Amino acid sequence: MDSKSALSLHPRTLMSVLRYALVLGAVLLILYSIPRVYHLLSMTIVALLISYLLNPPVTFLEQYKLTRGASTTIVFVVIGLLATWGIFEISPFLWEQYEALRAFLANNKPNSILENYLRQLERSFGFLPKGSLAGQVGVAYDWVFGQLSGIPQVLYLTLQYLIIVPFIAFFLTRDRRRIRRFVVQSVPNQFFEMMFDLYYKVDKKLGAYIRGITIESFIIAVLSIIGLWIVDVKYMFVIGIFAGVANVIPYFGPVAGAIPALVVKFLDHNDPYTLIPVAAVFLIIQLVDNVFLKPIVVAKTMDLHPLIVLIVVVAGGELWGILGMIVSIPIASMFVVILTEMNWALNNYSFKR
Amino acid sequence: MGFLDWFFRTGSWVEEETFQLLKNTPIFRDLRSSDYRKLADLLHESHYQEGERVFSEGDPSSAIYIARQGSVRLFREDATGNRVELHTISEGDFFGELALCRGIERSSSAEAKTELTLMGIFRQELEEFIQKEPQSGLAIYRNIVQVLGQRLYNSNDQLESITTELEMMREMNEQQEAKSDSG
Repeated sequence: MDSKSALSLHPRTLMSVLRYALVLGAVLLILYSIPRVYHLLSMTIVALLISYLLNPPVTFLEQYKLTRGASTTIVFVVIGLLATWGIFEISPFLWEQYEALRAFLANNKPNSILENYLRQLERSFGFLPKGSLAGQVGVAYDWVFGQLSGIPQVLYLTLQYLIIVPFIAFFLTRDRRRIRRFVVQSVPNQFFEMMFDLYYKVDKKLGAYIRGITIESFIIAVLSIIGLWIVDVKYMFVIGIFAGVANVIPYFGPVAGAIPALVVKFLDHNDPYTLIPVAAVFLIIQLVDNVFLKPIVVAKTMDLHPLIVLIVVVAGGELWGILGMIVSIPIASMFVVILTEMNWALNNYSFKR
Repeated sequence: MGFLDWFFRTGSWVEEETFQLLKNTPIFRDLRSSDYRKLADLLHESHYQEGERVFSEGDPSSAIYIARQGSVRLFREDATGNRVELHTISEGDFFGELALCRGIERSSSAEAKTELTLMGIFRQELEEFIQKEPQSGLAIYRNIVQVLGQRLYNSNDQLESITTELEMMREMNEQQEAKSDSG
């Protein structure tokens, strides 16, 4: 063999080239297969979220000399019954309100009064072409309306998940430690400790984050419903729940959460001054959220840069609509935690052989 | 194994051998017997070839290891790569116990002296275990103090003998110098 030829490589170089090729291949394979295993992937992610939510009660029950399997079963049965009760008892009521809201919005497209305001605005800002604002508002309104109408379809899809997801979630919860062991032991020796460290921290942070935002959303939703009831906004339950869920998105979420209430109130009374108490309600809730809830419940919030939030939310919206916008933030946070911890580990371990 | 057994199993996938290993490790003496199973669940096994690194001085430390099979060399390296051997850990012994203190880096490097099987326990998991089983936790910490105390005692002995030796060498030196001065 001609070792002097330009193409010959040092074995070590060859190895690292091979290694990069393998990694690249793996990444491409994953990207290629994501659309094909899309449902499985999203089912697993949802199951993972559930598993994180239910792990604390399971671990708690274990203290009372119950085996992991038994306590997991108890928790899943109890939560399953509660969820079933919720679906049968509460959802028809919410559904009714949702349908009413939809009908209300369909019958009250941005009307003449709003158009008058917009025309006034256009006049005061001379550079705006005539009708442009109204047109834009119309487009935005149609988009939101379309998205709103799409939610039941997504929920229907979720119903299909109801059978498989709890199944995955059950095993993810029951075999938590076994999975961790498997992951940690399957890496080469020099990454052994690092891998455990990484796994542990990511697991901890993710769990705290997911439980935190769930509790936060729930409280925000309840507060919003109460607030909307006080200032007398129609369809307060649906709107309040939306505000709670939207609150997951940093920076933009709280604004997005307030918009439906403002729109409904405006279409209802056709008087911009009635919007002031509604806005005040949301301002107060944000205050409560930032002063009390966030520091206590979401102890260490994952700080995503506003730009990242914007990009991720838009991408999520492109992929899965309104629900995608909301789900994209926890997923992005997940990646940020993994990358941050990985970076720390790579900088701190020496990996000598 | 029946379905119910499988379904409700403790999540304990540990063999008897591991269980015994734990019982015979000094820092896990005198625990409640039901806790050994739980503790055994936290063991992570890893295999090393002769000469392979387990960890390096200055690394973040998060695991304490028990040598299941084979022995381990603990050493320090100076900037020029000279090695000073500190200790040899033989089968059944543990090392890396400083990992139990948060935020302390590895004070020495460890490498496999022979073909080696280690059982690692990670600090965070052990801490969780201790929180859940404070009785056994107390026993573990008492054992650690005992072992560390013994090691300190031994180091002091070593230090003493080294000092005496040094002293003797100095005296001999002085005597020789005195001789050569008078001579």
